[in-house]
Amino acid sequence: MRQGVRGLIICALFCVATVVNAASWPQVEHRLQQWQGTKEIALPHGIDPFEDELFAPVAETALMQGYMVLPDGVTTKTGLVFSIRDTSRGEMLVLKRGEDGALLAMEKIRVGAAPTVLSTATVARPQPLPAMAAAPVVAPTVSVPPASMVQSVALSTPQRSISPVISATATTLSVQHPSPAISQNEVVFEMDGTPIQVVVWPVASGGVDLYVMYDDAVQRMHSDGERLQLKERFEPPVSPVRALRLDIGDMDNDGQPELAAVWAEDIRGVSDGTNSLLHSWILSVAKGDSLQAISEDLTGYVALSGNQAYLQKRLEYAAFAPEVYALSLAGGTVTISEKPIRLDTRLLFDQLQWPDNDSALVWNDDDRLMLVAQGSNTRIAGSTLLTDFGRYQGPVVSIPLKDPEYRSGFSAGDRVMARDVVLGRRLIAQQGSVFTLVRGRSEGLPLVGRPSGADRLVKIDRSEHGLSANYPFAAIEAFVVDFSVYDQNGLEAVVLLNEKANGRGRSYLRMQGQH
Amino acid sequence: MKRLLMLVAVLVAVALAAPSWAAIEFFGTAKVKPTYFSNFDLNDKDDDSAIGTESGGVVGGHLRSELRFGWKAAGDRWSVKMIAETDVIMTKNSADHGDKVGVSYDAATNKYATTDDGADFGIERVELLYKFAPSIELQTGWDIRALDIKSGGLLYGDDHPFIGFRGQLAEKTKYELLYIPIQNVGGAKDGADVISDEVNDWSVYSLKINQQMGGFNVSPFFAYSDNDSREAQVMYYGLEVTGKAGLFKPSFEIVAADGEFDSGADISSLAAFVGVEMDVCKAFTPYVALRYTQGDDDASDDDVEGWVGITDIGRFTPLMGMDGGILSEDLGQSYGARLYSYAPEGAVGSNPYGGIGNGGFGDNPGSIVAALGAKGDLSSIADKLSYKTQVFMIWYDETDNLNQLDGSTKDVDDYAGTTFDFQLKYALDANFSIDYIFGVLVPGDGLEDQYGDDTAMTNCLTLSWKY
Repeated sequence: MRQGVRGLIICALFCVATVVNAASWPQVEHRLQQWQGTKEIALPHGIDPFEDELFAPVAETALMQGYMVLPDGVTTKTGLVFSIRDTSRGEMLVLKRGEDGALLAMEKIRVGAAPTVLSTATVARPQPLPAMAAAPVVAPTVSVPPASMVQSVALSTPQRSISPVISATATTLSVQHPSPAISQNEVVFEMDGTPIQVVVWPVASGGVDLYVMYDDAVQRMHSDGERLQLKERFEPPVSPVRALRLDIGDMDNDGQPELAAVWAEDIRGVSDGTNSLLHSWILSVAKGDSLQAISEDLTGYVALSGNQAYLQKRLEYAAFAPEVYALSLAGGTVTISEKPIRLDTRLLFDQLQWPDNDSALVWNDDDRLMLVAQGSNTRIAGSTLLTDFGRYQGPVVSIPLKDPEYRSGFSAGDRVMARDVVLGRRLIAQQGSVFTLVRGRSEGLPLVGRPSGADRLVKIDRSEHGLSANYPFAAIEAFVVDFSVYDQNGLEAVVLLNEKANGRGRSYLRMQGQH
Repeated sequence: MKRLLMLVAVLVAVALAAPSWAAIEFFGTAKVKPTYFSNFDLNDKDDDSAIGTESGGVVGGHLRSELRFGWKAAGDRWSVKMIAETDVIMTKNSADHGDKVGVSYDAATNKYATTDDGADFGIERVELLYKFAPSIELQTGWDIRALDIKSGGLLYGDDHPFIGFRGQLAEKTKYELLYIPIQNVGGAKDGADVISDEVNDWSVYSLKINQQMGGFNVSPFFAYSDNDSREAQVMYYGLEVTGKAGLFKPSFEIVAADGEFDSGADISSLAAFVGVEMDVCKAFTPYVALRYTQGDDDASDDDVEGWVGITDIGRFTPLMGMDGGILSEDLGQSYGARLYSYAPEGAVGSNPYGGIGNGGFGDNPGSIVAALGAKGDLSSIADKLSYKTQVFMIWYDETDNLNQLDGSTKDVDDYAGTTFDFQLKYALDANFSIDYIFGVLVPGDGLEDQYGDDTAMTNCLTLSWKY
């Protein structure tokens, strides 16, 4: 009996030791996750990142978190620098900020611990925004109606405003959280309902028009930076539907925006898989400010950017057909090209033509962005961006399976009869760069966990060395459901936030300036 | 003991430190079905006999629970899926894992005993796969396999054990080859001598080819039923066609059975199905279908012509199927169709050679079922509300082997009866739905002649959790 108890204790100790061993550089790992500057690391001179017993796992973990490991002998001013230092307490692994040598982490090197230096189980951990977290919630700084009027926005009261509920201010940043300062004039609006998409159109007379897409409508609002004012509302003629996508552009170059709105109508049967039928319209702001459809139901995915609009249909058992058609607008009439202008292997929303050249930015099978040649659809070598964009849970389209899977039985509820295809997160070309979303916030463990981490927008640039990622806007400790980036007196962003990853919790709209 | 504990410690430590070796998913369903069956004997005056369900025999009202928990581990080429299940009529005994009494009738009290046949939580389904190449995937276990479930379900669909291969032979050509050991009961003795170790066995060998041709799938299939238990060997030759053409979704199936009993009696039968669904609008998708199973015209001769499949799986077919529709329940005590089956294979009672539980008789009368139905999405009334409804008109194919209730020698009428089913489903949540089925069997002159003229009825509510 005594031997048995002793054996169990040994077993327990072994387990604990193993867990501890698996994460033996907690400080370094934490700092790598928190770092919000350029994601590149420099290793000590002469270190082979493939073979070195100590640094190979460090390099591997950094790569998994989206860092670039600089070649031997190259240092960095904007990234992080590793070194080893002999101290009176023994050899220490040191992590410093390249810009000024500020010490970020220092941990003792233990003999024999090197092969399990860092756990790779937590790649792409969120980068929380300490500045925002610490920011005091202040009273609205503008003259607005009381908070009780915030909740409802209805057509019958077009002059009603949505007032800001939080105005963020900058705080001092610590070495542990090297995030740049936040703009003073950021504003958050609490939204009524659960909007799914947002696009922005700067107005020459000042402010911006915001088009917010709900399951049952598209709302046009105007913001002067302090208030949101509901102007117009369009309801699709089909109901009930789910919002999928809203794009904005100027198809006929008349200075007035057009919108491409796509909804899904889910057809359910007692013993069939859910089948999402697509409904889409081109909307326009006509004279008198009314928002109305100027096309028939296009029954497909519609993407609109600048003056280019495209249509791609769904197939019965596939998320998309390869044929992509061009849409044009002339004399108030939307026409579809008679023949497809190209054949695609991807859904319209999963790609973006790179500004000013013939390549396209696409998501690869590992959920990373890379460039492909537009014509041949072949990958451009060295163009894969090793940034972890996190798992995005956007709108889905349900596609019936041709051969349903009998997962647990014969009954309809026991079968897998459809698959949900998640539409890609938004890619926006602006100022020669591309912007998209990094999902750094996670929902936490089922039942016991709480959401943690932060989402943020990422700016992707292209150089002769490939793609690089920068973060011009502050991270946000909420799920970014959608966003829009525009240039009006500088680069600004509007992000649609939600308390839940699926966009069905309390919703906010935040207007962000650059750091 | 000490070494063992150390070994366990090391294994646990390695397991904790090692990377995961496979993606594992867990899933399951939990269904509770308050159900009331009445008058399945078509006679108000007598009590029903026990009605077979997956939980065992029931009479009248009952609460049935079907609880499943599954897990699947998979790599690039392999997968292992197991589903544990308990399927019980909810009673104190089954909840407490009490006596396994099964269905029994106590003549002294003139009462049926409650049953808890499914009270054990065991592995209900297993599927083990390894893909050597796209054209060769090894498959074994006991999971759902079918030959014609996309059309009429006349021949086979069940979760019997199997071992075999499947794969993609060309871009539009697939195949599935199976060995299905349905029964392997052991030897039999004549005195001290073992006369056969196969006497109670029943094995099926099947091959199905699937060829995509335009918008249609054309699938010839073959099955050989080596039914030593019934001393019958039968070869089935079939063709299934499914597809879509514009607004129409036609499906078609024809199967011929050819074989013989050890006694020399000849088995020769035919079954067919044809149906078409029309995509009118989301709230109304009508269908029409015709299902035919040949009947036997003389039980006393050596020609066995009544259709008996391996497992008639009409209940779960796309057009005429309804999980809980009255014809798919066990109507063995009147019309003769067993659980899941639409054919009256349980009628007459001679020359058995297959069917669910090996209980189908080759001298059954066969049937012609004309079906008219519709399904749709009622989200315009309430989001996530859907329905299906159908009417079956049933004729016997042959009535010579059927007997009048009053003992007279008058021929039994061809028209067996009419069924009506209505199903309403409300998916309150992605993980929870409620559906209700109301079904009646109104006997025609054919069933009235044999049993009675009272209407059989089912009311089944299904509360379903899916995760």
